[in-house]
Amino acid sequence: MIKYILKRLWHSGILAIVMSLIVFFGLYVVGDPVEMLSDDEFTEQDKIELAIELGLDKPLYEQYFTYTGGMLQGDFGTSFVYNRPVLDLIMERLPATLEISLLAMVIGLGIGIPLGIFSGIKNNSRASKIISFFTTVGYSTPNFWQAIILIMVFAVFLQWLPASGRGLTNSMFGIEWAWLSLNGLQHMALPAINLAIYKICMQQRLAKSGTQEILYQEYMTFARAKGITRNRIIRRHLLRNILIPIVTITGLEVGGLIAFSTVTETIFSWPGIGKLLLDSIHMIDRPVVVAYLILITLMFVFINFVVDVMYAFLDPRIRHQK
Amino acid sequence: MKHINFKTVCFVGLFASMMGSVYADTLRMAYSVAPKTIDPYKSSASATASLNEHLYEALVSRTNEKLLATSYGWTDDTTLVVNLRKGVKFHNGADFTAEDVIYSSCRMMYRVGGKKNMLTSAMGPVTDVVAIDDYTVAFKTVGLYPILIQKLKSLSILDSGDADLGPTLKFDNTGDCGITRYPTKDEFATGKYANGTGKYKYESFENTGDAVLVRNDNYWGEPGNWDRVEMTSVANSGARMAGLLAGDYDLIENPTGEDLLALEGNSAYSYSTMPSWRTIFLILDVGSDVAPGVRATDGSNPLKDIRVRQALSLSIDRDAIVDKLMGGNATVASQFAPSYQDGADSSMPDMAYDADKARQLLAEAGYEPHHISIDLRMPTAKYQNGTRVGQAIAQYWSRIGINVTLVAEPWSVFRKGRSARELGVFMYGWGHPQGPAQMISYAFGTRNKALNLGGSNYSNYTDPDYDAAMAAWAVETDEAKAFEYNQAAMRIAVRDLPGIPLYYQHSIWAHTSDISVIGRPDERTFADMATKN
Amino acid sequence: MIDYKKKLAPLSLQTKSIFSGHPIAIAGLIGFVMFVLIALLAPWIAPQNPYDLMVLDIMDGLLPPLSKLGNGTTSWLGTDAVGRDILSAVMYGLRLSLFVAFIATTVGSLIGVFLGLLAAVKGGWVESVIMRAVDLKVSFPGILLALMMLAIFGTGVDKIIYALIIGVWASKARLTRSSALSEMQKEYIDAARISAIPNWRIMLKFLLPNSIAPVLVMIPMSLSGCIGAEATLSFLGVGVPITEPSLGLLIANGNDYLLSGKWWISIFPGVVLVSLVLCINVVADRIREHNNPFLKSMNMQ
Repeated sequence: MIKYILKRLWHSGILAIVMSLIVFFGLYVVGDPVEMLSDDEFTEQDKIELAIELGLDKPLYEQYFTYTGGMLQGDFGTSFVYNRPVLDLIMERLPATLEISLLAMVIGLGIGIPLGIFSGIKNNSRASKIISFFTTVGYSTPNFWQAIILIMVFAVFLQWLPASGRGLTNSMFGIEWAWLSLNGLQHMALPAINLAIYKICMQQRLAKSGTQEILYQEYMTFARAKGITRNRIIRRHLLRNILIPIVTITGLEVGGLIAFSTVTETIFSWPGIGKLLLDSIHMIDRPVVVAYLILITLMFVFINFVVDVMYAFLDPRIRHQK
Repeated sequence: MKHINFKTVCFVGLFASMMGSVYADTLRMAYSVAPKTIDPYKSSASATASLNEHLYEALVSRTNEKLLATSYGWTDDTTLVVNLRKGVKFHNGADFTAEDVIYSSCRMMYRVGGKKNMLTSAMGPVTDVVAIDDYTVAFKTVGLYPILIQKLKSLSILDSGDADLGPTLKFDNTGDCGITRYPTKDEFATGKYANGTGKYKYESFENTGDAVLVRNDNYWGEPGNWDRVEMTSVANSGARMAGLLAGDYDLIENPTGEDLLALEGNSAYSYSTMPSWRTIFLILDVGSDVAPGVRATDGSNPLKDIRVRQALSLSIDRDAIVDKLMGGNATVASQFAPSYQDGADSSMPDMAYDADKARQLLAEAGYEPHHISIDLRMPTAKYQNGTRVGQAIAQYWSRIGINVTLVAEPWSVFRKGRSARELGVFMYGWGHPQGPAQMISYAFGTRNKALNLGGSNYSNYTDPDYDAAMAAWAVETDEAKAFEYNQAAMRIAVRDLPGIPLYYQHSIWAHTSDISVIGRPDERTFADMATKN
Repeated sequence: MIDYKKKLAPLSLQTKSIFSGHPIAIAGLIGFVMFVLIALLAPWIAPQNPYDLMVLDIMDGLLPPLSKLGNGTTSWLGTDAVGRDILSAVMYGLRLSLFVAFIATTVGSLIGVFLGLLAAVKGGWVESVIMRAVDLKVSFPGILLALMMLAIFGTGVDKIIYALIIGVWASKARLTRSSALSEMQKEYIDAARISAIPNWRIMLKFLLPNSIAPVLVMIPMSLSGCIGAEATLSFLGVGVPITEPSLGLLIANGNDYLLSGKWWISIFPGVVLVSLVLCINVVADRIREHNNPFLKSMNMQ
């Protein structure tokens, strides 16, 4: 197990290095941060001074080592645009992304799994077919198109929910959250639903096929033959067993959610890290983009690790292995 | 009263009391770009300046009204004397005096946290700032620098009491000035030193660009219209408009012309427009033997031929662009700066449209249809309807027989290409508070470092008469004469067409009907543009 | 020994056994074929070439469906701001979206299959490098990777194809390798190796036919994934150029006008996009279900 973890860490280290190289040198090709930050009235001298200040006068490889060297000591650099530490920028916006992603996750699991188990058990019922059809439509609809429709229906025509921004935030553990106030929750609703629709559909499909697979396994037939009640079968055998694939996929999908929030945050002007990333790409704010991608990489490593542990916990065959 | 969306409240009636506290006179504004900082010198970006203008004031406003100055004048070629307003107090209660002007000049040049400020051009040729008495200050320049008073519009005045000044305060170009301690970057970011004389006081600012301001009740003039101003920024124009319609904001800037149609027939909302100082124009490389992205069958640079440039200009139906694409929210250009700006020659005729004459001129110049190919380069997501206008110009040019490829790139890629001089023909927009001369002095002058002319001459244009007029303008302290030189230069530019003027953008603000808005020409959004009905 | 071609039943027969008795899947297939036909024939059946700026006229801009254009023709689905006929734009957009997705899926799958086979046959460091690269790719969200790619290399039809290929190849490589490895356990491969048949012949002749089936099953899924990704990237403004709108870019253009009631610019491309992806997904689901031996046995019960 330890060997496995070490190997994982080694691979993620390489991943982080490759990512930072690609992004750092790639962004160098795209544009010149000095050009992006300077006015039309800047003189050549102004531009040279600005370049020196940002450390952009040095050879690129030197800039790269200076930057990554700082990063190893926990200094992710200073944003060219905001002139503030990148880590602060990201950490201030992370809660916004986390709260809609987690809410979307809760909605996705809470609705998707019951629907999936239901349609798995009653596979041939009309209701199951209708549910399955709708989830197919749901996951065939691109995220941004769902967002447009949600805004048009709920914000513009019905005027039930706000279409943009985060609304009021309240402090908890020194972090600003939107879900602590009604106004904040209202602002969260549409972006979270936008992220959740895909989740619901995926979970429904996973839970459905999982249910079907388990229902036809021998021990289930056996349990039925023993006369165990239907509810008990579902509780004892079904739920636990379909949870395994769901936990795996869900874990991996948390990362996907945070990544996909880029699109959702952009459309709903939700001030999270996804929107920060897109803005920074446009402004060639290199420290922010590099730091974001490396942090995301680290997060993925962590999530994969947690998933493995959860997996071991849920599957008795692995749990009891010594 | 406050505009809370009624349906929203009903929908969630139970918890309505938990809604955010609502102030008597609160204005909620949505910017299109997020302000980055509350340090007034750190960034030259318009959104940041808009926010900071609520907190801080300069000697003279952007529209030439006197703020902290009551009068000014050149006593000799290199001395500008400014008389300061008396009885002005900073937000913290301190009195405004000449010392604060010197301190602010130093703070502008000072490298906070080792970093140079973006807004230092005002102090460029200034050698000294001295207090003649508590309410008179003199700026000394290294040579003739008539536009100093224009440049000083970016010198926001801060309270010298926020720093430890040391025994003698003496201006120098490093911002050292004998000052023993400036507030640090982090201290400034807390808002404690966001201490100006403006109509609004700092309450909070987030790095997302959200800010809350409250009225400065001790303002020296007419106090602000609002008890409280809440600013946020929403980059997507559709989302901004949806936010207005959903009751999240009272006032939004830069709605698209299309969105305005949605407001028509809805009595709850309204909009205001104001012709802005931004001109949208094309730049043509008229000087290079081979212009990048411009090809002619004979291998020459066809843009060197004035007839070709005239043809390109004549082929564009600017009225149609203004009516159909801009929804009427633009003015057809007569020159490279708005004809309604102070100092412009307003008698110049609009740029003409005559496609037949354009074809004839091309033929006279010896170019048959499809003999000229042009890559028209432009930035995406930069100007109102920009890419649509680009497509319209491509349509017009292709109709007179020019092969056009429209290349729209992200701003970052575009800027890099422009600084590498890889763009032979491109679309650009320039809005200038310092008068119509500024843009053409950078864009079309022959490179002249001493007078700071021609720094952005991507046309590679050079003309002795033009340069003479611009050089005379650059050192003329008499405003009327400066205007004349500038108008002469503008007429030469429009005759020679090193670029093609298209139109002047209008700024638009959409808002609820319970407020009235009178906009500004400098594309900034200020809370006091709005008044409650 | 000679059972290695058993999985390749005639296509027509396979198609029949996959679709018979599944009306929704049949509808999906018909829909998909129809979309492909429209895309292929667009230059001949579209009323206008929406990519040719010469035939567009801004005076025809923003006309609602069923309006007459300046040249006397009728615009059935209305026009966009620069006078592009939406019906034509949707046909060409469909063509572009399908083209991009087809190329990306095909090239990406070919690269994936090749690398997967190579990893299986060569082993050693070759396998190690390939599989690490697969891990790299799989552990990172595709949309982020594509965004970065396009930010770095700029936009354009070719660039978006590269970005999508990077999203496609990895899972194919992994799948091919594992089925090739299990195939290599079989005796006939040993026999082939002993008789000194070169590696590339083993790859082509034995491994390829036998390990490609699971990849083929995944192709429709990849196709719809690519269509969705291209639309998303173009919607965000980092995809195809503005003068050659795909479905995603048409929606983005129209999105600016939705609030002002000019719904046709966005809604028609949107409906086509969703229908297209839905058709492919319905077919993909059916093919997957058909190829899942467990579900098959269950259906027989």
